[in-house]
Amino acid sequence: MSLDYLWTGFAVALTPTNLLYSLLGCFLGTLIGALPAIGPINGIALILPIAYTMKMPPESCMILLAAIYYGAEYGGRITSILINVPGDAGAVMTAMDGFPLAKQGRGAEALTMSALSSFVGGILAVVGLTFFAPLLGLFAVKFGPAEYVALMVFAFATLASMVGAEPVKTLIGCLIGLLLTTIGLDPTSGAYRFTFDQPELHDGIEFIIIVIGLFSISEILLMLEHKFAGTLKPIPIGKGFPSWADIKACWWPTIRSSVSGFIIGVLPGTGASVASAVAYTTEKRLLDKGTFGKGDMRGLAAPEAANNAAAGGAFVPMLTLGVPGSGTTAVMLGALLLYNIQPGPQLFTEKPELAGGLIASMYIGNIMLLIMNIPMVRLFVKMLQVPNTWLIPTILLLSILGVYTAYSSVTSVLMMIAIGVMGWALRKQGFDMAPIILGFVLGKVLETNLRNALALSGGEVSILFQSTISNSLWVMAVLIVILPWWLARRSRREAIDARDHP
Amino acid sequence: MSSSPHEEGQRNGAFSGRVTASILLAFAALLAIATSRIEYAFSSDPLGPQAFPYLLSIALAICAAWYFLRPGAADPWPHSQMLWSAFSLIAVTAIAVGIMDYVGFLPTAFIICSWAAYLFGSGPAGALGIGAVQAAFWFALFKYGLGTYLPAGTLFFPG
Amino acid sequence: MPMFRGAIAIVCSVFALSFPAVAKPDKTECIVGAKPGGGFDLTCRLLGGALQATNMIDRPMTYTYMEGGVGATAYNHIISTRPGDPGAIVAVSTGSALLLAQKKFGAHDENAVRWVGALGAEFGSVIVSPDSPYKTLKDLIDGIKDKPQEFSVAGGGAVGSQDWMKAALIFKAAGQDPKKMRYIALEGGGPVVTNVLGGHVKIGSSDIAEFIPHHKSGKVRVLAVMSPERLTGDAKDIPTAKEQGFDILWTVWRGVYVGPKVSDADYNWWVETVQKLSTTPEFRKEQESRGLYPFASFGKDFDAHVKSDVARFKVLAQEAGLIK
Repeated sequence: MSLDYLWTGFAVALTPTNLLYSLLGCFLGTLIGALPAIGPINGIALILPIAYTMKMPPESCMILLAAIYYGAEYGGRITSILINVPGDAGAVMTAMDGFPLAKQGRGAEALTMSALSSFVGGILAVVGLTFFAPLLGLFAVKFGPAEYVALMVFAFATLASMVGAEPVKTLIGCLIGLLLTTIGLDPTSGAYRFTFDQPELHDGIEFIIIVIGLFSISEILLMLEHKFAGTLKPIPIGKGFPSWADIKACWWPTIRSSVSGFIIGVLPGTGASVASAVAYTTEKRLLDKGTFGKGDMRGLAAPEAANNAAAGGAFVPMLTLGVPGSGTTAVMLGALLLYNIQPGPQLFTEKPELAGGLIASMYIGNIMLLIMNIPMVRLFVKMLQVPNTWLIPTILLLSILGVYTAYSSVTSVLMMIAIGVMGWALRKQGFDMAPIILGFVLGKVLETNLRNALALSGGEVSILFQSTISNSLWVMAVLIVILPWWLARRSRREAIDARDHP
Repeated sequence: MSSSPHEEGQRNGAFSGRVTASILLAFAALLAIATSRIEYAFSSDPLGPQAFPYLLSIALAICAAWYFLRPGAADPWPHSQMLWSAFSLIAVTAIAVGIMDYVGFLPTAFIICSWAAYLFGSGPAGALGIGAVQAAFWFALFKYGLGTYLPAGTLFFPG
Repeated sequence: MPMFRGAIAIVCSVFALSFPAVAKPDKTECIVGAKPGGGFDLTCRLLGGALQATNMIDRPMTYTYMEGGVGATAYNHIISTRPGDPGAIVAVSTGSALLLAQKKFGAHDENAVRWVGALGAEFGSVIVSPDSPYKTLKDLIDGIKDKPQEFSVAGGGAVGSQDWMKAALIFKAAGQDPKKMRYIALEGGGPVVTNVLGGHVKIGSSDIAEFIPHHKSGKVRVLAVMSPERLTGDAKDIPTAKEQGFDILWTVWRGVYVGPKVSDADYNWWVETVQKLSTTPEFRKEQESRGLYPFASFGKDFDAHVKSDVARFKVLAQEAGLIK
């Protein structure tokens, strides 16, 4: 494919006004991502009408909205790392190793490292978007219900890495997550499951309610306990830049996670939260020697690269097929239609200033975000110096506001608090929150697609093994379970050999 | 006669673990009952809406039983003062949110923030100040900055 | 004393003229019963944008998101929390009426709010892939008659939703039991298109607006639109089901309602404003850019329309075996 549209695009994106919109979008996005209450979709829904009434040209509007979107993926990591409260849904896995790092006084390092891996993920996604968009569009179309089932089985296979010292607790956590997905409308039968006549539950429990409950509310209760036990210590800030050895260790996890995150982002049925979950559990399965979850830089870099890459990937179906790849791109698609622009492959030839301008602005925006984020680390870590008497009420209130702005319903807020209390009790019992999150993220996609696939085949299970894509995913699922075990055995044998034959 | 704190912690963990396991077991049973009550006319797939929840309730029951037999380690449960303050934070927050549609966002935010600030070590006057500032700031930001709906309260502004 | 009565009547009508029974709320808010970006959001933004453009309101309308059950959360909220709020208007669509008919809309029925008016309509439609052997709706229905099990359908909603209903009407026209339809439920119209493109299903069922872009680029074949007459614009070459000899209609109206205790004056202001608005060129332009067609039904008419739709859907749902 000719890249002419891209040069046109750079000419558009590099005009002073559009550069300003990029910068504004990156800044707003980082802020929106960092506030635990508001995610990119709310941010874009708020900004879009303003942009439209200002008669902003379509390409500038897209540049601004896109910058908010991927800026938010950068911003979400900040509160994840510093206070264990994910800023948005894609940043949940970032807290797994990010927060332990902050507790060790490596918060600033972690912020810098995650900015770097976010940048790599973001840039690789734009490169993928530039060169493979039409091809990937065709690939996304190949994913039917059966293929999604195989993908989810692969994702569950990577979960084997989460089984720690107490496998029963991991299993129970995962089951709780799966159970939460069964609440609400069951699409294949139209039945309401476990809704107890509450309309708030008809569409099921939104991911963000679970994230806010399990993380912010339970974190506040744990902190309260530490306060009474006298063990609530201020977290030291530490040096700002990670060591060269850390960066080198993170290189391959970042690249791998960017690629897998981008591909998962391209698929319309899965987004940043699935991408970062799969990236984290895959890296843990491949690399973990007992350091993941206790402050391993690689466990931080992987999900951050993946969620940024997924945000970029979501643009592929939007631009090539005119079908949104995520909730946020759905709102952006609506914006294009407002301007009477039909998204689709013809965008690249008919409206090169738009398609090209958008893609070019994503190169520029990611560079801006990196430049903006590294010096801002110093500013972000100041959050740790805010006294708890101010910080805790803020987190608590933002948690409530976050749920309330989406549902405008008291019942939903009370539900979030109840989930938080449950999370606190489980954490006290030595349960990890990650399996609950993973069970929830993957469960819905699995059940819906499995049942859709069986509805298509009239109950024939063979439909799950009919395409090359599903079969490759099944093989990968088996490999991800067996390979690390086999590698460990081999290296042990080599160690024995080396000892026996010096 | 006397036991080391470590053993104490383990025994504590075993006990609270068994309590949790029992709750989970009861929950699995309730889940199965609730699943049997799901109403639907027909399903376009052969599994139907009940298959997954049944499967999950069985799996949860098995895991809970396993957990009951091998409870493993857990944090000791906090002493009464701590438990009381945690309970008060949850209760105050839940009640304040519960009356939000009635009294409006500002009083709710004020109550929650003041109480949280007080529990985390601020003096009573300071806590009230923090509550007032936080409530006003976030109200202004969301209501006027972002234009989102926040309840004014039917008590003061009957519709 | 007929003269005396006459005098009263005159006095009253003078009063009514000088104090018309309409009241303009000083601030307006549109409640979106879903996530940003869906049909309700579109309805609210259309209303707010056009009201602003025609200066019918002084301050910009605000939007409140209240996700849950195709507007059920918003319905409950307005009835129980703000029944008398004159400025709060709520977006509604045929999808909500369908759920009301199936008693899946919470505790209240269709008489619990004041229906204001419709802002536009779109229509159901079915697609097949461009290399499919079925060129007309008749081909497709004949095919279904022959081998119903081979015709899998993708729709952008659950069993019992509008997209399912549209497909069920086609299966009924082919003399088949809709319950036996091989139907997959997806989230919205986008995935319906990708599943048809990828060959995972034979038929896609959604709204015409979802299919128009793909129709224009030739990626899908639109077999029929379920409108009473031919549409205009980009859809003008698509035949209706009716002209192909099948009485299959599916109108998706998009409208608004206010709370049950809103005063007559405030209610009348909304009805008159929406009615007046719908004739302005600004509104027509906004309506068109959002893929909606005119649908004139306001006040009493709209109220009757909603209630007759709910009654009709009850029958349809019973026939399809959704409710007993």
